[in-house]
Amino acid sequence: VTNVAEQASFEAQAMEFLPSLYSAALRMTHNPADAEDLVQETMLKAYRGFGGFEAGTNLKAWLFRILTNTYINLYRAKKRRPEQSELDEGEDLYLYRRLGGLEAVAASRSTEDIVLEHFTESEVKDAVDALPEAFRMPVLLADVEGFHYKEIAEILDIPIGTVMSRLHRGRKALQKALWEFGRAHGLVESSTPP
Amino acid sequence: MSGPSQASPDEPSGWRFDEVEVASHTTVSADAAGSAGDDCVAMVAKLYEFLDGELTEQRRYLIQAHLEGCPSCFSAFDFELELRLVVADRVKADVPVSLVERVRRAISEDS
Repeated sequence: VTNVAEQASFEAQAMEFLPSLYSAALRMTHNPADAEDLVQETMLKAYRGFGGFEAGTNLKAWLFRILTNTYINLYRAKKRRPEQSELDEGEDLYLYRRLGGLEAVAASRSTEDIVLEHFTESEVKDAVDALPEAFRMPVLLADVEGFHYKEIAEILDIPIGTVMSRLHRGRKALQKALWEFGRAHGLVESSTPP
Repeated sequence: MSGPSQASPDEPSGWRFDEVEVASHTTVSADAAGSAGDDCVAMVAKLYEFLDGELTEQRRYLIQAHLEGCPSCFSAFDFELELRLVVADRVKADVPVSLVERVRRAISEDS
């Protein structure tokens, strides 16, 4: 049914999104082997359905929608774990305030330095993984992949208002989780009065 | 060491966005964006939508004008943006070469 030209066209356009799809799949499945299977299945489905993709629209968003649906069908059904809805979230600017806010910046330390100093790479990943899935996905899609609210709404098949509220709460919960990791290895709240 | 940002001894050393701002920035904002304390609270409420690029041009402009005149808000916004970049950078994983090959093979066998 399909031919060499079609295959080449799909590969030329879609393969560049493999790193994004794989990174997201890893945070969804928490497991490299499952993530690879999920990405392969996603790409195969995308290839088979490529005729239905409207040229000129957002291919990355289209692929992420397939990734999400494939994940729900293949993995979430298998686990049968009830969806966690409770969220341990902090207030706005949770981490900023605790890391010293304007004082830390005034001491001419970049945010990157401050964060790199306090949190290891695996702690950042663990904090993301610790988010309940309903919050983790919007945060990943917005903060890591740069999707707009409307695209996230379409990818996850939820209303835009829900995207916004889950993003807001998810980001605060992520900061709180990061803070807890930092505290576990001795990070002290900078605004604690002496 | 002692710069203008140093807190005086009788003030708490920690900086609280919503508490301190109300008192300390009223003068700065007069030409920027009206009454600063309330503005700062309103700015934080719109922080994510601003960073996400989801505001209208007019609202965007108002926030930018405020940020230019308010070092505290600027610092907080900058932190959130930088934190996001650091998190994104650490979450990104390298694709195993074997996966690229697997996907190409699967597509080719499906043709």
